[in-house]
Amino acid sequence: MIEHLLNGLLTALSFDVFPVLLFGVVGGIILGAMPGLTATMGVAILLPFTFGMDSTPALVMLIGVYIGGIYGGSIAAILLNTPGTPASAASVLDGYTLTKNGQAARALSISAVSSFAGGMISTVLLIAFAPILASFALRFNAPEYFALALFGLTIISSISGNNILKGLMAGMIGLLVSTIGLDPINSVPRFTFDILDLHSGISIIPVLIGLFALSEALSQLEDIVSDKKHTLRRFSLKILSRKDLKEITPTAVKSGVLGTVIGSIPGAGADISSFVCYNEAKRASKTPEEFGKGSIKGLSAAEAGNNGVTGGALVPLLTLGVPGDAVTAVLLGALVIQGLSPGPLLFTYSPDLVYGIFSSMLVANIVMLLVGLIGIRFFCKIIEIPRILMIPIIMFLSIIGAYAINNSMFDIGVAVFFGLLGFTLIKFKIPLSPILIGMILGPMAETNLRKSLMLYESSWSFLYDRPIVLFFLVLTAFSVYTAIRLGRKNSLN
Amino acid sequence: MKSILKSTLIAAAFTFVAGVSAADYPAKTIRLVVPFSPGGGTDSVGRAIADAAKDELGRNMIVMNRTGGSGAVGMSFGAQQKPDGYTLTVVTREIASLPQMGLMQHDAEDFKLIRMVNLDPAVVLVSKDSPFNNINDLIAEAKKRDGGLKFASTAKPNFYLMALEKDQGIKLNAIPYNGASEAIPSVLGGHTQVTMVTPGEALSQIRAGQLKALGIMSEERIAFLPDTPTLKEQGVDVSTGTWRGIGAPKDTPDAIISTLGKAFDRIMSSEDFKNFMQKGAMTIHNLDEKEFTEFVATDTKNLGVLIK
Amino acid sequence: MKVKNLFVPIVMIILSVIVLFLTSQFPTPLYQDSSISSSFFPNAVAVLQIIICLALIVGECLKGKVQSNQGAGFNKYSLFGAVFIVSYAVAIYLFGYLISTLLAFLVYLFFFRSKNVWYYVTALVFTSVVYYVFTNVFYVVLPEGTITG
Repeated sequence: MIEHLLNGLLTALSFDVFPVLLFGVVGGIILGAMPGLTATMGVAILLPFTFGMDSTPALVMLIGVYIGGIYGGSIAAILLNTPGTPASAASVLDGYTLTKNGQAARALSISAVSSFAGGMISTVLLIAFAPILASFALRFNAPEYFALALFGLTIISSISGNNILKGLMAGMIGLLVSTIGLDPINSVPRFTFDILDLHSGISIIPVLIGLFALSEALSQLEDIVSDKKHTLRRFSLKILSRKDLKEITPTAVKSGVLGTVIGSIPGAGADISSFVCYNEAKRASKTPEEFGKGSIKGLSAAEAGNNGVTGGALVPLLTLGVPGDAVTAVLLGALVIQGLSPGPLLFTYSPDLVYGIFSSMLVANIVMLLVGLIGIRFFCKIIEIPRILMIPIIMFLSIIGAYAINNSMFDIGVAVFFGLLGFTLIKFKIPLSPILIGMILGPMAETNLRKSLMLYESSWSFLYDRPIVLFFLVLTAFSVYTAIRLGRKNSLN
Repeated sequence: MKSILKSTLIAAAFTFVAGVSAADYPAKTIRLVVPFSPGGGTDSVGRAIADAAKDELGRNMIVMNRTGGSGAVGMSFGAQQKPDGYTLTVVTREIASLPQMGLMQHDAEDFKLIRMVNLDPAVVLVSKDSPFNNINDLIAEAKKRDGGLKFASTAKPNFYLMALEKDQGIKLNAIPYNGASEAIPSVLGGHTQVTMVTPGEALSQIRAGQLKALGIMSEERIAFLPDTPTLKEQGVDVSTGTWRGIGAPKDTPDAIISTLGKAFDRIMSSEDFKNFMQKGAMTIHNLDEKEFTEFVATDTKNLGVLIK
Repeated sequence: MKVKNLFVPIVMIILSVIVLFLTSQFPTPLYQDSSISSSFFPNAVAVLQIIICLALIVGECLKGKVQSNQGAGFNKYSLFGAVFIVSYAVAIYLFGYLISTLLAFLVYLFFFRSKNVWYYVTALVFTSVVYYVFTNVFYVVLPEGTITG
């Protein structure tokens, strides 16, 4: 194996592979930073270009886009409160607060280092434990997904700020929005009012763009008067200190591992992972009250959590031949076009390629770290742009991004609606991220509950006769208990 | 006299206008609407055709993913575009089924069907540890445990399964998974006992021996799975599968349709494209406007029987 | 107690009641279903939402003493922003990306009475660069507009 890996490293650094790797990572970062443009889209756009390429450089380029894209989403989230994908929504919670406190460079460097840690850990775990992770992933079916979603929903309590009830109310809004469209089990139209666009439901990315980017643009516009008095916004270019690094390392490592496990389960991706890791970091923290107010641990957890998925997501792809998420679905297409059948045979017949991919992922993560750190000075220039000019640019990019994700005018309407809604809710001090959690996990909870009941012929026994389900149910109960205790503590203070 | 002259002039003007636009065609980038998300079979076929069309037509063809409603959103969108040949749509079997279930407002009549691209049979798959070794084992067990066998369905409703159920008078418990990428792990993990997908979706698991193919639902054996018998060989006369093709809005001028048709013919007979389809275990099945339209009409009728 | 804090919960309760009514109108499915139907989940969410909102309202009322409302409305600038976003969305539908974006940017700069020439140059450069990059690099066909397209 070591020999294969060394050979792989030589390939990754070779003259015909490294340039496309670099191109992929940098391209992915740029793409990911734009609202509405996702890693999935980047990989899909590049797919036809790989038709004529050799298999190793082709896959390496696409994986570079994947890794870069997930990291890139966080740059805009941290600097401008505009997460490009749901995966970087958890980074907003603390990252943007740090930027507002003038610590943009520190936040960006923490993001780069944590993403790097998450990605590296994930890749190493992928190399070492892919078959074990795969057999774990195979034990997941409808009941397990339902239990995971249920546990995920308890995260709402940890991202609700001071008022858990308000957070729950927001979460319910998200859950309700997620039921719009054709029923995923039996195609009954729900709340569609005979509008074709509503049949497919409300897509999450336009909602995300509206809730975060557009509402933030409106808030900034509101503050613009007061801003005129002190137009020069001061911020330091200081990156993370050694103390910061020491503080975030345990969190980043734990989140990287958690992210890998979550990523290896088909259907659970970077969005769920970043929130779960954030939740876990907050739970384990001695100072949970700092989360949401610029906690570097919170930012680190979210960042290591979403990049931690990158290696895990390749587990089902490489070992079982099924994609773990949207990006790996496109990667699967790329493998097939190259004439390779992903799955266990890939290790037997094309070890060069498999280890080439592994090594390139290690290199890609290093490239991402370097580009991320070197880029900080440049990224920070973005917040030096006068706000009066930046606001319309964010608005335009948001609306075009909402359109681009599915070439849909309707999605522009969705983004605008949620932009105004988000702005209004901010006025009432209602947190927005729970809406997102509700939208991500609602369909997962519902369809899998119903599928479970079908699998068990209407019996509810799946709740206690499956170990993984029991594990998540215990976690859920524990999480609810912690939330109630914290809530009490808050109301006493 | 005057009126004749007038109508001739108008007719001439029309031919002229139509002639100009068709002769110049294509004068700008063409959009190809793909009604499914990136990564699936429909998307990769769409992208391969779009990529090859660039050279055949001398203009860019851009894939535009418009997903939702099992393809209904994208195909309805495609049907409503200007009939100028600059927006084409990848048409899939859903255009024959969804309208009949009231899940789509447009149907095949709203398109001028240009070419059918591929036709792939479904294959019946069980996990390698399964006690079933041929389709009759499965049918016998299904008869014994009425509705007790769990079927990992890739779509709702599943017409592959319904065809078999109707023919054999059996009933399986169909659990609706979200496509082959969820259905296959479900069978691999032993949560469900059987699934039906197209060969391209499960080729690697079949080759690796993780999944056992009980039979292929076509008239003849296919090249990708030469050792897998058809259901017909096993005494079960059911054949079903899925197909894809390319369509344009129904009022698109015939001249444009024929330009595109010829271009698609050249693409489908090119080595590159054959190679591409071969690797994805998809079977090219080129039908021209007339054949394709008839094919869809027949399939619509067949599906109608299952739906009712 | 702040009256303002009652607003959203009350709206949500009304919305949830509407949801409960709508779910009772769902058509019956064409095909078999699991033991819980299409309306189960929306109903459960709506009922939970009503309970949560009632708790919020009760909690607010328990705080006693009515305080004055402030800061709930939109100010002049955010109101402009809201109208601006909505009109831009409509414009892009009618006239497509290029015209709408350039026009909207100019309107915005006029609104703030900007005299900085560079801002106007930025508007022009931004609009065209985004157009070029999206069409030629990202392969996204930007809206062409229903009137002008």
